[in-house]
Amino acid sequence: MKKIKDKPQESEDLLLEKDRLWQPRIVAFLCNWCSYAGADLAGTSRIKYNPQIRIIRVPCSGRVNPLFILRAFIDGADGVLVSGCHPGDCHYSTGNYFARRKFALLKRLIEFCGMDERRIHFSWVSAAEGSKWSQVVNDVVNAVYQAGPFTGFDLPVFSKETEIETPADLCKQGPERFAYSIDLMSRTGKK
Amino acid sequence: MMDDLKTRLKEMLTSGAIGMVIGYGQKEIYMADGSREYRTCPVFLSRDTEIDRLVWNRHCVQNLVTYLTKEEYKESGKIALMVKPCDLKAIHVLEQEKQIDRKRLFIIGLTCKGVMAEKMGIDEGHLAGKCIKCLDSSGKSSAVCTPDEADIVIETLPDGDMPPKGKDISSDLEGFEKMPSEKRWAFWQNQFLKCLRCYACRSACPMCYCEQCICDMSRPQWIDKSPHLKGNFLFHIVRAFHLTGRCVGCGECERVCPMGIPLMLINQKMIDTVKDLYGYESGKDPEQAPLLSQFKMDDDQSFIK
Amino acid sequence: MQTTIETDIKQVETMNKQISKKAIDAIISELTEGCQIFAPVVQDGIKLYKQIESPEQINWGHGNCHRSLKELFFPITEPVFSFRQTRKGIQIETPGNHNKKRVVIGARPCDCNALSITDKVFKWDYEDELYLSFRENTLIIGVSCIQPEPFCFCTALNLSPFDETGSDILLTETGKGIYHANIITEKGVALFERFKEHFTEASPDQSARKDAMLKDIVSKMPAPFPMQDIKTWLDKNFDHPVWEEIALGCIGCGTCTYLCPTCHCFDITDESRGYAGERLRNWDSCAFGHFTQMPAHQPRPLQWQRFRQRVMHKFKYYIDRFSRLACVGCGRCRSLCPAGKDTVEVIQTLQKQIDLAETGPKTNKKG
Repeated sequence: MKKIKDKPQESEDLLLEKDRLWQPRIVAFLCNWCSYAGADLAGTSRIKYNPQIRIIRVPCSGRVNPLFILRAFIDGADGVLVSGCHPGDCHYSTGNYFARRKFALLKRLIEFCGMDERRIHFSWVSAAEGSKWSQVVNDVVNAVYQAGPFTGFDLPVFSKETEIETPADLCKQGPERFAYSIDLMSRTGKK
Repeated sequence: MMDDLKTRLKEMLTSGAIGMVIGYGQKEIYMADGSREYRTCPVFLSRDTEIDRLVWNRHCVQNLVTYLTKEEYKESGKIALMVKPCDLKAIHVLEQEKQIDRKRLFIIGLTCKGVMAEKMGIDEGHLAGKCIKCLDSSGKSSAVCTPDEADIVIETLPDGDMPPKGKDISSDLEGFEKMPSEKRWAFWQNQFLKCLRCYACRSACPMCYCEQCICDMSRPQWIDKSPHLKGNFLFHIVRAFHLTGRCVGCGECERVCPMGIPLMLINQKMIDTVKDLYGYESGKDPEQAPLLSQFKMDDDQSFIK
Repeated sequence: MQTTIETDIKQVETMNKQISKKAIDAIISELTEGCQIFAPVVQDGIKLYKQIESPEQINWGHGNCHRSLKELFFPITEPVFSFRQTRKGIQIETPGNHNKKRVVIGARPCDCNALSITDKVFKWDYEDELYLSFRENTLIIGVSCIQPEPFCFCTALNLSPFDETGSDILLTETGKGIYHANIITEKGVALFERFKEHFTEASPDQSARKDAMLKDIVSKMPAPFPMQDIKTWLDKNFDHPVWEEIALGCIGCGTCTYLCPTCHCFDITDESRGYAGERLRNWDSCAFGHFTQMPAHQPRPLQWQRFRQRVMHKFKYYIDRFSRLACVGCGRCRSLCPAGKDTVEVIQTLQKQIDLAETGPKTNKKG
């Protein structure tokens, strides 16, 4: 896993980056009724957008438990996108209103903990907005590209100069233990 | 006032109106240098002869509301509970969530002038962070238990002069938020690596009453049970999120943590966020709808594309 | 039941030597070359046994570490093996990384003694390779407590703050910068032989001083409890109503068990993602409700039953199996219990019960 040195700015450029070692992994949770249909429309309309996104279809954005988002990061995602119907359009009338509160709070919480805000995105995309969908995806991919690979759950490497003191250094007790397990996880999480 | 209370509790215990008193008491402890010291801790009294053990001082730190949802105390008949004004908010949340029957409770409302900060079993010698904002200029807590809320209100204040004020939690929070995000993440990595997953924070929290905690589930296993960095990070974020809009800021999680992880930093952040975004204060009113089971049409959505 | 299991730590006739603080530092510096050194280090306000790179990092202060020595041998989480599904079938790999030589310096006698308790469990009916390989490759230099902490009660359990069990070498600070060194085991002798020039013969007045110090400290500490009587009482009173009362207040967290140097329960969990994963061994605690949860039955549904289990294990079950107490009196559980529960208080309550049983019928029987 290597960090790319010069990060491309434009999404057109991104498509040319196939030979680069690192491609972002982005998990997208789409509601069945609007955003998924919107993505489908983008496909049938032959709109091109960045392919680094992995779509998981859910019944409603209200179904997206904040744990899904956290778990995605734990399992190796570099970014997460959640998309649902515009307010007022929810198939279940109010699901996205409830979801909106949860997302607002989750976003604040994990950004407070120090998560890069470029990694977590929310959008409203209706079934008619195929072009908006492609724009959203390109923006998200761009942002995650700029944020780089997510290494927040790798064991921190503290140099002596780091202001924050070395923690109860579990890695040193069982020497290769953590390096070993994290390596294993990242091998399964990422190609 | 305390004497009146004791007489009344004795009567109630003898008549069987209440089955148990959960309050603060002192016990003698055996120290290594041969001396005896007194430690204030929760006491559970079911005989009228023991009532004299009750005390009310600045070391009555623990939030006793925690015990109300524990299985062992559900069979004890009506419970008389000593409650500080800030702990009363926890009762409100439990009522709001239909976890306790108010009729089973006899609330002894205390009048408070701040409690001591305690961390890792040591009295830190200054006021608890949560108390600083709460105290008015006369050194008395601005939060009081009103007679509507409490069955009996004790107006006696604990003895003793005002101890030095410690650091206010919100000033810590401000300083922390100024740090760049990588530093913040590194800080929490550092802290969560210490976590033993002893779940003292969960056990001491009055809001953590789930019979089956999601952290204990193995199918599906959302949260890694192992105390490595990933598992600990996920556990603490999930714990904080489950308390969002419910945490009343009693500070028990931080007090009981044997590794001294500053959990109130996250909790306070979420208390502030909830107030800031939705004007919601948990534990203010037992009748209000829980934060996440209500919405407004014009809730903030500036972060959504 | 008496057991025939013996520790294979080879005790030798204790040698009394003397060494200066400077010489100790020199030895540590030299040892960092070939092996890992662990010592008490204070960071973020807590004291832990950590790997160090130079002797200056060691905290020689009197307090005990917040977490006990057991985590160096029985880590809080440890992979047992990893698995991976490949085209050729399932591959299993064992970590096998416990062969590095390690030296622990600055461990307190109670923590060292506790290892002799966990040793027996880990080589009882099944020999636990992970634990034992750590044990075999580690040399322990203990440091006597010349100033016990407020919550210590080792003397109440007939142990001593200068106890030699479990240490390979025990240092006792008899004067400023001067340590009396007891060389106890073969491993200790090997180290002594290697660094012979740093040690001098202990003078008789040093030894006398050490004895006087011990006498002085012990005279202040709690007197021994009648643990045999308590064991006899525990044998008969599993169902005594006092248990419910003793446990009142316990909130059911794992603080006491996780900080305890002798608690050794663990849980096995598999963590896998996609086609690979690993099996991990994590600490577990009898204070948790799900510790004994089975699909159709929960033998200890209430907290007082779990509390009783811990007391029984320390003061009865372990004695039944290995003829000694499973408590070393380090006081961690007493000082850090969120609800102020106190092991000494528990023992005293049981003592009162014995007195009550002797003097007359129980008056406080609950209905």
